[in-house]
Amino acid sequence: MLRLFLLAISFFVLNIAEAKSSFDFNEFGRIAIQSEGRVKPIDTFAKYLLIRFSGKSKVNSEKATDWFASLIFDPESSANKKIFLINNPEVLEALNVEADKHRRYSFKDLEPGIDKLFELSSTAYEVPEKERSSIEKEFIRVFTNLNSYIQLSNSLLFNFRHPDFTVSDETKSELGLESNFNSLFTVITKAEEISNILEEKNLNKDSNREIIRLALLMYDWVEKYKEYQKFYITKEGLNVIPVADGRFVSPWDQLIEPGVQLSSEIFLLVKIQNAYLDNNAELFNSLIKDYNLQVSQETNLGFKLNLELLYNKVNPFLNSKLFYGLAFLSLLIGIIFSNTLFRSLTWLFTGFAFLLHIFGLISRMLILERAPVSNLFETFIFVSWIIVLLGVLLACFDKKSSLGLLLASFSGLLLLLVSGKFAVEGDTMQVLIAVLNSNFWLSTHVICVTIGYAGVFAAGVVAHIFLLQKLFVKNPDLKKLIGITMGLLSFGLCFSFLGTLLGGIWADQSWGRFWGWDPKENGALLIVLWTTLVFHARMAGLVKETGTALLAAFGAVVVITSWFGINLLGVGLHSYGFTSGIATGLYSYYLLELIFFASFFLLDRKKSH
Amino acid sequence: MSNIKQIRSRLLKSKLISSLSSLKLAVFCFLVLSILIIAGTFYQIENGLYLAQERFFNSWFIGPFPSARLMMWVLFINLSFALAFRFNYSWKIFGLLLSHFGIMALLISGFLTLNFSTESFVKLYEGESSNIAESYYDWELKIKNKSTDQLEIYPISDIKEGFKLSEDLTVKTIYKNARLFETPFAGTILKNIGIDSNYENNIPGLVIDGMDSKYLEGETQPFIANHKYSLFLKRKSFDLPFTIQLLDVKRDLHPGTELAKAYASKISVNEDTLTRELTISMNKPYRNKTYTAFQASYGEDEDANEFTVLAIVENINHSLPYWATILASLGLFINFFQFLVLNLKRGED
Repeated sequence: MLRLFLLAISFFVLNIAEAKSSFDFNEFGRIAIQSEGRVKPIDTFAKYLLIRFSGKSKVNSEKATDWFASLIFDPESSANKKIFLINNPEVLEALNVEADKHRRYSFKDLEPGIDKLFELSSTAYEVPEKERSSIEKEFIRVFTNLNSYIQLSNSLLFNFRHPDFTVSDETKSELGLESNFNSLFTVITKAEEISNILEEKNLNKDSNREIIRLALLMYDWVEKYKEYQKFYITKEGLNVIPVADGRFVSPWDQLIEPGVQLSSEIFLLVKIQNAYLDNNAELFNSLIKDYNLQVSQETNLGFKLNLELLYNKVNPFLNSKLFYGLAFLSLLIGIIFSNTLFRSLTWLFTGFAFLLHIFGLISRMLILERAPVSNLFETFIFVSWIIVLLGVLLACFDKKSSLGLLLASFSGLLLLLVSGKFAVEGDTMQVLIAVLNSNFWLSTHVICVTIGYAGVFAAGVVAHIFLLQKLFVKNPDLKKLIGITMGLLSFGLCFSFLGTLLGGIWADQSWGRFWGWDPKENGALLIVLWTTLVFHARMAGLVKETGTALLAAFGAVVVITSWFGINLLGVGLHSYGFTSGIATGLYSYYLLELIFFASFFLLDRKKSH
Repeated sequence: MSNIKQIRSRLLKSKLISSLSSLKLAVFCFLVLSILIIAGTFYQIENGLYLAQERFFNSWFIGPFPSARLMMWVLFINLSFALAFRFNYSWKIFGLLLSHFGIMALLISGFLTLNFSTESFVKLYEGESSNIAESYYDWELKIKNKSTDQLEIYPISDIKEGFKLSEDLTVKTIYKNARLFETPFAGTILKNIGIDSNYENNIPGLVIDGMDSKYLEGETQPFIANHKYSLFLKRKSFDLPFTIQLLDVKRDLHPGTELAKAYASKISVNEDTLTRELTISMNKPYRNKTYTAFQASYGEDEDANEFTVLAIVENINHSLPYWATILASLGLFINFFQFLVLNLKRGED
């Protein structure tokens, strides 16, 4: 027993020792960086940057943060990593690059063709965005990525020794430099000494002539850097140094700003880079810790950053998707084999998924300090959560039926699968444009509208189940199903109506008109009208149970159209971004529904004959 | 009470009242409105919001087909008749009744807004002030007789080709969106550039017979005269009961981006002899009686002078839609809970 205990301890110690001997990139990922208007951990930034470049969150087996560290600290060796995804063979041909079977290329591969690419993408830029061909878009995409890459890889360029800054022993001692071989940075740190000496105006002294040369060089390099900045089409910087008013700047921003006191962070960064290049993991790790401590003392972001790191680690939506899938599977098995064990498993999996889902929603609200829905991605995770909630409530009230769990697991899985398409588009936690920047309306109008989507969509799913049962199940309880459909529809109508009109009130408050027939307004109104139509048609006796189910099932199509089909039109006040993957999904959905309705009519007619 | 019931049920036997108050008519209205909404939305892609509104929603007919305005009147009549003759006034359907009265109020406020509200704007550079708002879409031609100082105003929508402005001035051509161009040989000419789907960008132009220079384009050249007349082609203007002076306009960006976080105009409002300063920003308008001023747009000219555009809306029934929303939504929620309680009870039995 004692031996076992000792073995366990030694294993533990060994593990710690081993961890110390390597670089702590998790701590590096904790560093706060400001990008796209938001402060986030490098962990998030690096992941989405890499996904943007390569479509994957890893380079071979290397994690995004590890890769990002090599990009900014050791750009030379990083340039060989194959990270640029190029799908279009014509682009490769134009750049004179040989095709790779993984379709990914390193900076070194692409560097020789960069001037050509600049030319091609500049021409492509002149074509109006809507008329660009796929190859023109690809030129622009690849060039923009290279553009960001170059800027970021140059983040600490000033810390590399350069023959220009080599000085004589005399100058070295006069300026108090540590070495004869210097970088722009070591010279800049002596700027005050240099200007003092120049003020003495003893310019004939040999060493002073060298100091004049250094001063001119310094000026020249900074000017050149500023000049290069003009060429970049997008500005990307390592904005990790906190300054006033919640702003973060990059080391270069500080260096080229005349008369600015260099902050302690920039000195730390330089030391960190040196430790990285010297392969001194211990020093690197302790310096990174110091760096984070320093920043957390200056800002008040510790909680949010830690939460975001946890969010990234837990990956709540990917995992809850997995559990919804498992729940759905075990429910099906349970139904087919009438096994109660699988039913309990379904509850367990749904419960796990639901908790992860809530965790994801709440942490996003805390990190962004706003209501849970403000972009298309968030509508998916919120709507799916509401439907799961409705399904779980249904299952609680009617313990014998599988309907509630089916609704929960199926919708949870389906909608989170769709939401996953957005992760490819970059950071889903975006800042808001001016008109949306109102927490009150985001948490009333938008929430109500999306709950309305959930209600009417859930009713549509149950109506589909009604139609399937009518065809394929012996003695189905259709009356109960239609009752549940109407209940969900009624729930959906309440929120859709309230949400739509709250939108009107918001519009009245901010634009002075209650209603303007904007596409998204029309979409919301369409849901309200269609749902109302179902109720009135049923009351009027125009449709019986099956007819009602058909109308309600079509309600799902109306919801999907209003929810994100409208965004395809690309007009109106609410058109906030659209991904091509979603467009294909949308068309396939329409096609599936068409097949579903057509085959229902055929089979139903056959059955009644 | 029973008397009223009897009268209602007797009247409901009349075929006209029965069909005007029928559920089938309501379903028909919902269906046609749904189709109109879809068509009107697609129409916007090519033709822009303004034309879609005019064609599908604010007019009575589109060709032989009813437009949204007509359908909403039909729905309104249907609803009024149903409430008058068909609905069974009982606590059991309290929620339902409430929501239907709410919808009625909503339709009424829609009709009021469409007929009695105006939308206009004031564009101000920093330091500038104005008490005149201009229309987004409507233009006017003003003709001043130089000798008598008599001023005549024609809305541009009334002017057709061949229209006689005076004895010796005749409109030869009218364009909805035209600009003056310098040409090397023919001098300045007026060119039709086609309708812009952003309707407020359209600037009308006229070709007039009987003038020294026969081309007239909106705004850029307010005066064109022969010996007798001065002509102005201007946006329709509205006098405001107060003067707005722009003190400062600000745009806040999200840190490190070009994405606006907020716009705000600091203004000073002068009414009668009273002046006060206030700030208009997104979601925070300034209200004065039936007028409301909103932060609509922000920009800079070539010399980096900042300007603001404030939208001015005059609306006599500002609060009705709010009450309608509360009434109808409350009704729907009550109805939902009534439905829920009923079904749960049924489930227990």
